[in-house]
Amino acid sequence: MLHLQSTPDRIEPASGRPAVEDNARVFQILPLITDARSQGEVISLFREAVVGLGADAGYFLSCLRDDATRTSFRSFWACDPAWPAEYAAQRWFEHDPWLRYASCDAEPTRASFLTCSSPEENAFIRAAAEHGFASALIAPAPSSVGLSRVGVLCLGSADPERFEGESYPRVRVLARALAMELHHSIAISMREELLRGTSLTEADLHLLRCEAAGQSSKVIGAAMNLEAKTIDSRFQRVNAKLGAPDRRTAVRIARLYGLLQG
Amino acid sequence: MNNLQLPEVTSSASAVVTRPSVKRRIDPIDAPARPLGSKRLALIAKRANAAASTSNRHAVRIAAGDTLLANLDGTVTFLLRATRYGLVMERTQRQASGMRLVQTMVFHDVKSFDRWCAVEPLRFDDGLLFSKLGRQGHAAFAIHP
Repeated sequence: MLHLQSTPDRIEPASGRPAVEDNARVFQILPLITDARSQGEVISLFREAVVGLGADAGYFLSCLRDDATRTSFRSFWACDPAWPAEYAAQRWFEHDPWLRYASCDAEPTRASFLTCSSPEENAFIRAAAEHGFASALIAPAPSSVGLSRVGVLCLGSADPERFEGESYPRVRVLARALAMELHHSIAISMREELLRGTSLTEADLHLLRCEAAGQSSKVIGAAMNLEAKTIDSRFQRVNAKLGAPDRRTAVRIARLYGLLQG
Repeated sequence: MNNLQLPEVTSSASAVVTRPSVKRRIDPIDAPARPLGSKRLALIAKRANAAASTSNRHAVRIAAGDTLLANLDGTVTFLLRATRYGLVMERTQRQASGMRLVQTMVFHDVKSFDRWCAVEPLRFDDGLLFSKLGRQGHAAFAIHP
């Protein structure tokens, strides 16, 4: 059952008409993103911010390298619906030059300033241009865990000159803030999803904290008045819950998802 | 006059402070993950496959009113949720070992939903699921166009 809000700021795909900038509204939206209680609300705010920044389209992609065997991409899309479908079908995340840029630089930039390093990246740029990203502003969202978690906000416009004007410095600052807020929002939702999916207990988290502190099973067991083998068994269960091959990886995952904070 | 202050050495220090135990190695969090051996990789893939076929995580995740659709091997799932912001769709594409892509978007009207349906790659891979997905989406919009 749908209860749709009126959305006068809907983005028409690759409309070509000039978007109306409302930077003040974007400034109001930014703190609301963290407080949003659902992903639907976050995307609606994101969509409104994209319009407020004078863009026609936008997407935010967060890349989390869980361990040696897993990489998770989470994304919010406020653009022509055909673009996310094509992004998934063509596996563009493997050749996304904007994501690559965000992995090695933290400064917002314009797509026109980036050089493609492969034919696939050139193909990506052509495909993106067909879906409202003829010009694009790229705002990386770095994290405290370096390359293990990287986010990138891509704002696009059908107008090739959209991000070349005088307003660029202002839009750049707001885009950076928006990228960080979206990254934070995604990090929170991923953490909650992991906690729900794995049903980790406080005792499990305590074990992981001990491991993160560099304590061996013997030391942990002595503190808890348990045998080292018992601690090993508990770690095996924690590893299985997190899908980790070993306890060092389990700690890595727990730290990446912010489970060991506090 | 010599003003140098000689360090004070206390012989009992080593007896008071316990010697730190040998610390276990911790993987650096800001570097790429430690690579696994081929045997370990094969084992992880096997476990992931087994977990994917028996997992009931989705059942836990689904809230009342949500619709979860998955293809036969569970590699692609769609979570539909009707909200006051529109039809929220979370599309998850995963491999047993490797990557997981989660795309979340909101459809405000049937037109944008149909546009997405027209290009969604699953329309060829799993026609049955795709038609079900289309029906669910249209039903949500039909109640409150």
